[in-house]
Amino acid sequence: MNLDEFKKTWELMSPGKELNENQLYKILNSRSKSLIEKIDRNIKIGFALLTLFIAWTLFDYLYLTPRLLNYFEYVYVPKWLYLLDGLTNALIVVTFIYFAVRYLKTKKYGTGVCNLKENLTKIINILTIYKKLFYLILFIILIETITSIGLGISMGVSMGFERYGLSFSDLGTKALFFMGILCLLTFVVFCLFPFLLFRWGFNKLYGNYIRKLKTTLNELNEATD
Amino acid sequence: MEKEFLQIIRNNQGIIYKVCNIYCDTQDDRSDLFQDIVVQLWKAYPKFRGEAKLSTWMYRVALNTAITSFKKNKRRPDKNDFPYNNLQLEDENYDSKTEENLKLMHKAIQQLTGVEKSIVLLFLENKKYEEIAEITGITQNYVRVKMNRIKKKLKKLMEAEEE
Repeated sequence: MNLDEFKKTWELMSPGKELNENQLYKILNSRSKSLIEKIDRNIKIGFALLTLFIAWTLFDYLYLTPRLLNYFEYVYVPKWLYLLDGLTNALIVVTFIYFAVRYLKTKKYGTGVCNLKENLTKIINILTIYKKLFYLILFIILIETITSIGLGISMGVSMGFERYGLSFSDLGTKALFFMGILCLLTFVVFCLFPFLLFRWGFNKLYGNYIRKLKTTLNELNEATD
Repeated sequence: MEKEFLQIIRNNQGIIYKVCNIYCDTQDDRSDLFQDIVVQLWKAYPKFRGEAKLSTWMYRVALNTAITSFKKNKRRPDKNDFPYNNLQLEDENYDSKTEENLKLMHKAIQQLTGVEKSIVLLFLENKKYEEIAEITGITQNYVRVKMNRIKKKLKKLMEAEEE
């Protein structure tokens, strides 16, 4: 049998079991199992959480921290830490706005109704935004963790120096080496390891799907080159 | 609007069944895809203004859904499952040889890529190259080229299956 012969048989086929209005109505009211729908929901949740986080961070950075520092005069926050915090917050706000604009632009005309090629391009764009949003949230969490740990260590060290009447230059090579190893370990445990773990998880969940969509789009693009 | 939509789906269920048959191996996958396609059609319906033919619009949404659908756990196809059990052949056209051929052709089509499957389906549904190009977003010339390649590929696959 070749395709033309198959076509003749195909034309003789008609739906055997048709769903009635009630069964179709039930389907309309069921939740979609589509991955794209789930990702879309996750992106919206991600944007909502980020908005709350940004609002809280700005409130903390511009109002809460300066007031607390005035109140607790003995607490000393190093300038570099304050500057790093400010830069991170600015970066988060700018990236968030960029993602939101790109997402709204992509979603403007909806997915599913355009031709296959346009639809795939849109879905891949949405997935790219999702991936970047995921890394942004991960970056925020890790930066916050590292900043807090950095602040704790810095305060602990300066308090220790103060108690024993020492300065940084009094430390020997061994102590400096030990401190370096400790910083490196802290970075690996709290920053690098969680980052690699989450990256692996994301690729495990969506990696194959993204690759499959890209392969299909490439097949269509070959056709128009 | 809902009643009008349900009526359209009732009258054109064959389109959805055929897309599900081409893209799925098991009855469970076909049911899931059927549900997804109906939901996507319903979401897209308010924007449908009749600029394209109703069947073209339905194929577009259905194929987009099928190609971008994602199966976390691939189900193993049932060997005894006749792939077109939601479609029927009129009695006088039915014989065991035809069923065997349909199974072989289905197996061969399952080995095509997602884009190739969509072109085959639209060809089987008597769509003109112009309409296939409109639905897939590629040029008419390339649809022609691709169609010839698919026919050759299917012939080879069928020969391999028959051996």
